[in-house]
Amino acid sequence: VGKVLKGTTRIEGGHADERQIICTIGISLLTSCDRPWGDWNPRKSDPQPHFCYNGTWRYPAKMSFDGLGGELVLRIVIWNLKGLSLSSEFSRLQRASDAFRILSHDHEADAFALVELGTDAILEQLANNLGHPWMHYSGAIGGAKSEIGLLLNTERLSATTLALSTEPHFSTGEDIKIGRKPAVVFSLNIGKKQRFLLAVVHFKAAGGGSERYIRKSLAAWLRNELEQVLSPARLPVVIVGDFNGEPCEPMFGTEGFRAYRRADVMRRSRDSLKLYNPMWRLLPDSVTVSERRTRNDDQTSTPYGTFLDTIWHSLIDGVLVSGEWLESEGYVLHDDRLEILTDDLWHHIGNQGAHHARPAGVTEELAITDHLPIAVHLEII
Amino acid sequence: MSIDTSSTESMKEAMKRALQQSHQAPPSTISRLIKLLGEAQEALHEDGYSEAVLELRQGLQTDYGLRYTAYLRDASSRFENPMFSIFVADNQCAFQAEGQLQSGLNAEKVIARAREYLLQPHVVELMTGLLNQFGGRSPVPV
Repeated sequence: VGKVLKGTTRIEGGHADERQIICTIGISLLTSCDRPWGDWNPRKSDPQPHFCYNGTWRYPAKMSFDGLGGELVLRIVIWNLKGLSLSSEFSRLQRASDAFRILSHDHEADAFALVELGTDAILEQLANNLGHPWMHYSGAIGGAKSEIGLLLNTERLSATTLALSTEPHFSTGEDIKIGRKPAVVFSLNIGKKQRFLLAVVHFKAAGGGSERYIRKSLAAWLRNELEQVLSPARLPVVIVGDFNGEPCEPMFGTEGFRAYRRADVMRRSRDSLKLYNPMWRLLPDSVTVSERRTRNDDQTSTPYGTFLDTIWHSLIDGVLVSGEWLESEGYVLHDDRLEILTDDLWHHIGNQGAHHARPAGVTEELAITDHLPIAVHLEII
Repeated sequence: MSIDTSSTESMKEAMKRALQQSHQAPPSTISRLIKLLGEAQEALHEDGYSEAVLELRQGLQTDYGLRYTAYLRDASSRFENPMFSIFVADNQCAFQAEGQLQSGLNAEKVIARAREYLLQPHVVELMTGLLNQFGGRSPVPV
């Protein structure tokens, strides 16, 4: 047990014309089902942490590999813009607008889920710079301030901002005092139909134990809120944003999001809101940058570096997808096309923290942010 | 402290003249749009959707003019949905909704377009649907 057996397995069930999925599967799949999250250190607890994704494994249920012929393929880019403001940093705003143009034109992005916006006006200005048919959707209701927002190509979809019913609280019941709204939920509509909920989060940063505890509590709170918002409609949910944590953090575990790192295991969950964490396979290493520095006797605090094995994983934004999306007729997650945007964009734009990747002449002040955006492909048939 | 009565009087006169001129001027595009939204809101209230709020917010300057966006929300701010935008420039206006943009409209045409949009069955359905789902009330039985 635990030895990976490479072979082919046909996944049965589902829709009549569902294609046969060939995947590589291991015996340890069965043994790990009872404890799908492990102990949050795959290197220590799981002798084969990557067996479920070795280049050929794919989500087995509704995946369509060779066609994007559904009603709508959405490419959502998620990015922390690190306090972009209208007033003082015009060049950074301009570079952000350039980035969005590249992403919308060359990379065919349909939506941007953005956090750490200085003001609502910055969101509107970014939409204006993109031009028609882009529109901004604030995370606040009634003209209040928010640092979370959406930019949408309104030829393809529109959104309604929804209020959450409670303030975040610790799992012990104590109120959490945090200076910003940690999450906003949007209902995403295509034409006249409400099709899914998109929660955009910005959880508290820093790596101490109390911050990890706060993030875990925020995850539990948001999960509960989504179950309440969801309960009448049973819409699929996608949670995106800046979780400010490593993928192995307790925030994603049993007392937080309860987000499974494998879609097949998630399907067997009895949770009312099943969540799948596709980022895990892109960022499977639980060893943090600080641990690597300690190991390498590196006393510096900068730079982060640009390669995924050296950058803080908490600087890479994230996505969780609900079981409703993976199991409902007409919804497809293009799991294999989930990507961390580092190449084309970075050569054009530069990264504030990762100075190794900045083109010559791009100073830290001119770069946009220290975060790496991600892009998720969703299809609605 | 003494008060300069003569300058106070002249200020009053100037204010009266300004108000008279203001009354004589035709209502601006924006005030007509606000009135239109008020009518639509009143109609929703009369149909049982007393939580409905339609409001206009000024945005930033764009290539098409200054943006004003109409929002639907409920009085308790449980949801908010942008309905349409109009852009007001010196000589012409534009109307934007559902990913479509009509430019080169005059004030009358942009108000007529906004009225037409608000009366479309699928837009009424959208508004009442949002109020039913997120506004915390059920429609009055017919």
